[in-house]
Amino acid sequence: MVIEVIMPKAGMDMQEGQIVKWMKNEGDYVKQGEILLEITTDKVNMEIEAEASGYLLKKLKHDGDTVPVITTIGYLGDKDDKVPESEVEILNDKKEVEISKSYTAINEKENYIKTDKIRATPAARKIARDSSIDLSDVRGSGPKGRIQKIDVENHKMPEIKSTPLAKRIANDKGIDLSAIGGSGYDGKIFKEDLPLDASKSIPMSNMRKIIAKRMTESYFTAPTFTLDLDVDMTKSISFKNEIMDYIMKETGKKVTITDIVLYATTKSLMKHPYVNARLDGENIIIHDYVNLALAIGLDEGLLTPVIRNAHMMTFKELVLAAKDIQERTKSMRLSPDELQGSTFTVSNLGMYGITKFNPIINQPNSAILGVNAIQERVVSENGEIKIKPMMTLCLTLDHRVIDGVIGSKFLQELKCYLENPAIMLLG
Amino acid sequence: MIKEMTYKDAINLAMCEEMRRDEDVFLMGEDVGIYGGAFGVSVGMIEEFGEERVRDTPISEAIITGAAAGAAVTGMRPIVEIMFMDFTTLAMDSLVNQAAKMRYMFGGKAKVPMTLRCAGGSGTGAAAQHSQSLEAWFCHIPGLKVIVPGTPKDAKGLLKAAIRDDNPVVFVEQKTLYKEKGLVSFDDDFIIPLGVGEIKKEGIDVTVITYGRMLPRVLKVAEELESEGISVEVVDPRTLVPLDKEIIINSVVKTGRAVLVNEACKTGGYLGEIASVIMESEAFDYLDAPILRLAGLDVPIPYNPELEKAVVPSEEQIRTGILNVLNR
Repeated sequence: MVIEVIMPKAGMDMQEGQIVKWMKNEGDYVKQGEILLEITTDKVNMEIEAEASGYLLKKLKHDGDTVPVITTIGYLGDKDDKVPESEVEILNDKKEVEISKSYTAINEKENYIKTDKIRATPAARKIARDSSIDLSDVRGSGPKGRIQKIDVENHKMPEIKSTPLAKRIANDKGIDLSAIGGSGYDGKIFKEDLPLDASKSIPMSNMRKIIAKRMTESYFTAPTFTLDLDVDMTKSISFKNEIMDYIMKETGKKVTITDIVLYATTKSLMKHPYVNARLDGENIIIHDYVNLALAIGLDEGLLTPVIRNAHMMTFKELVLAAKDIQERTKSMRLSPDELQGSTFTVSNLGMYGITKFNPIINQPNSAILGVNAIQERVVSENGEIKIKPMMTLCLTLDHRVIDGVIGSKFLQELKCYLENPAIMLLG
Repeated sequence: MIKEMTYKDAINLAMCEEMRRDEDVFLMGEDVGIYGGAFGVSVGMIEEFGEERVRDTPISEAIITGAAAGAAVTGMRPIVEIMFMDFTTLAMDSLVNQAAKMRYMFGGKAKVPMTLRCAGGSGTGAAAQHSQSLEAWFCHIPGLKVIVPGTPKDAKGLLKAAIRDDNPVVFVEQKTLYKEKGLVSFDDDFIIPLGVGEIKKEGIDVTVITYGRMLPRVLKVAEELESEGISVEVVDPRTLVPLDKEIIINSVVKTGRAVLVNEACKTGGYLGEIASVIMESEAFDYLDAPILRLAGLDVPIPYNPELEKAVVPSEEQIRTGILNVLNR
């Protein structure tokens, strides 16, 4: 029996999806529940499992293709199953009658009128009617998106969604799925969510895999070194306090030290273009703009969304842009292009009390700035012992592009801005 | 007493019991006497009942059936054996225009208590003219009753009911089931009333409605699926006319899904009738998937044994069909 592999509709507003990568080749045998391909929506990457065991007979769409939801993108089936041909060909071939499995299939596949009417079984309609449920609110899980009895019942009482594999293991081990929170879309329970052996092997999430790949690439291609510099944050703190109320009134957002660091970094980068560069083969590309990436840690992993053209922003605009992208990252509402095109990255671990660390460059950038916690430290100034709010900046550089002197000058510039924020007004 | 016996012997037993019980009952057909019938169903009967009551006839289905209809109207209870169901084409006028109509046209004053036995179905390498399943033709004629038994027990109980019925009954035996064994009651009064179906296997996930030769095939698949956690209810209407609509409708109300299986060609076949009965009934509102018909292909039965197998529903196709209706 031939089973269609479709681009799933993974959310009410999903219109189309992109195939990231087929994990199987045509002709490969796939077990039910095995990962067949990976797709990406405008929000997240998802792995699509095989609905049934069988051979991947044909891929209709390929890696990188973007297709509307519910489109057939491939076929699973037995080795000798014939893949349905396109409807046009079927109409042309309809006169030819042969005794074969496809004979019935051809007969039954007609070119019906397309309609927007809801496809639901009589049983689903009856229950919906009896419990005053609007069928347009119900997601159909049957063939062609048909709404079945179970879909309406689940709409009334959320079903426990789980992968076939998770369900089988739970059945075998007598695990109650209703007591488990799923990690997948809509709380779908994966095998990994089951409370099995305490020391277990956890397959890497997609995001994890990407982080691993990119960090390894960066670490092993770029010869790096890190420069640390202590900054007296006294004036930055008072600057923040002075403008806080004003900006709050204007924008409804709270100014943070990070915002000041970002602004100062942007200013410094425009003055030290080699730090805002990237290596392209044997050429160094110097950017005349700053696309500033922020490293944002989530429970699932790390994302580096980009604030575009930060150099053109006023301080207020930068505060708004930074807050917006932070909020949308945390709620996973970023578009894929917001994760690309950075020229420099800032990573702040200050909120965790970290005083010094060694960031790894976010390729293809040639440098990354690590921002740390502000600590009251004992410092000597003109022979006197003073207590000051100090912060260490850690700049990791790609030595292929930048030498120590350039990196040091950049850090000095930045330190100068942070210790005297008023200078930033000079342009 | 209950004993294991073949489908063929159960039919023989039913005829013998009825002939012992009622001397108006007699059998006629081609080679039913000394030869014991083309499939050996009437073996030993001529010895017990003699040539008067087990009558060999000329090779003319029209004559045999016409004579039976006449005998029935005059008070006898003839059993006619038509060697192959395909040959009922030649008996159609007597059966359809005479036997089926008389009771109505004479305002109930004439009865036509005749039973027409015939062997239907493919699977014996007998090719296109000796393998058909034509039950739908007879179901379409008011005045005829139609039985297709799928087990030895049903064959015996239903044939006795047919012989005792005052209307013409077409009793379609299944060639490939003749040697199938099953438990059969030796009770002379064991009768299965016409129009009463049977749930051959209880289940809750999907209803499969089938009869005749496909019954054992469906039951085998149902047992396999049971071990995989899929609970299939198998309903055998046993008599197609009158049809036990209640047992079908109740089962579909329970499961919400129906797969219909028979060997006859799909187009214009009786499965379409069963599907319509479900759709027009209370069960409609409980349907949770389209009704699926698994029937023979719309082709003459091929002579080549592999092709012959390929044109009727196989176990694999039944299994796949059931899983499809369950979206599995």
